[in-house]
Amino acid sequence: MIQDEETQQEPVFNNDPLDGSEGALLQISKWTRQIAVIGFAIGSFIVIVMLFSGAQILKTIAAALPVTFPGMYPVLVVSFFILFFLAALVLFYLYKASQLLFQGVQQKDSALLSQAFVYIKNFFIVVIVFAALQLVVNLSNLLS
Amino acid sequence: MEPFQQHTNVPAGPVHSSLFAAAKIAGIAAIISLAGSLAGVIATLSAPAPAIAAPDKEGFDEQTMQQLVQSSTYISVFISLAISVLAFYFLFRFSRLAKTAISNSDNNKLGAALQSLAGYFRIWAVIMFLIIVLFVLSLVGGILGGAMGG
Repeated sequence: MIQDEETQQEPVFNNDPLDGSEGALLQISKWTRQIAVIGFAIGSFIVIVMLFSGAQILKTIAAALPVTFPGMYPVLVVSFFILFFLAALVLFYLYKASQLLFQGVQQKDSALLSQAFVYIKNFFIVVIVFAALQLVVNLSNLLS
Repeated sequence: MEPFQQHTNVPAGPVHSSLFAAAKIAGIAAIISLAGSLAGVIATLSAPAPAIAAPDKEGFDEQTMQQLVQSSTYISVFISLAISVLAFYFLFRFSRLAKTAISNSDNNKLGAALQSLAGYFRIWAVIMFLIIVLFVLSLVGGILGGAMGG
C-alpha cells in the first residue's frame, strides 16, 4: 500500500522538466521577492508623500506639461491612480510568484510551480502594457 | 521498425504549458520594451536642446552649468539604454531557450533559460535597490536641510 503511494507520488516532480533547476528557481524566487518588497516600500513612501503634498505635486506636473486643456488636473489624478494600481498589480504578481516558486521547490509540487509561472506570465502581460505605453509616448515625441 | 515518436511543439504537463506560455509572453515583452527604449533614446537625442535656465553656481559660469545639465541628460539616456539592452538580452534569451528546451525536452537548456530569467530579475532588483537608496538619501537631505534652516 505504502509502496503503491510512493510509486504514484514520485513521478510528479521527478519526471518534471524542471527537475535539476531548483537552484535557478530559488534564485528567481529570491530576486522577485526582493523587487516586490522594495516596490511595496517605495509605494508606501509615494502614498505618504502624496497624502501630504499630492495636490501641489500634480499641479506642478500639470503646469510643466507641454499640452494643456481644461479639466487636465482630474485627468492627471485619474492617470496617477491607474498607474499606481497597475504598479501594485505588478508587485502583487511578483510576490505571489516568489512565494509559489519557493513553496513549489520546497514541497516538490508541480502544481505550485505551474501556478507561479502563471503569475510570472501575468507580470509580463502588465510589463507589455507599460512598455506599449512608453513606446506610444516616445513615438509621439519623436514624430511631433 | 522504430517506435512511434510524437514530435509536437505543444508542451505536455501543467508546468511545461505555463512556463511555455510565460516564455512566449516574455519574448513579446522583451521586444516591445527594447523598442520603447530605443524610441525614447532617439527622441531625446534628436530633440533640440531645450533652453534651460541654469544660473551660475559654485564658481561655474552659466554656459558651463548648461553644458553640465545637457551632458547629465545624455548620460542618463545612455544609462537607461544600457539597462534596457541588458534586460532585453536576459529576457529574450530566457524566452528563446525555454521554448526550445520545452519543445525538445532539454533539461540543460531549461536550466540556462531559468538562469537567464533570474538574471533579468536580478537587474531589476539592483535598480529598485538603488532607487530606494536615492529616495532615502533625498529624504535625509530634505530633513537635514530643513533642520539647518536651508
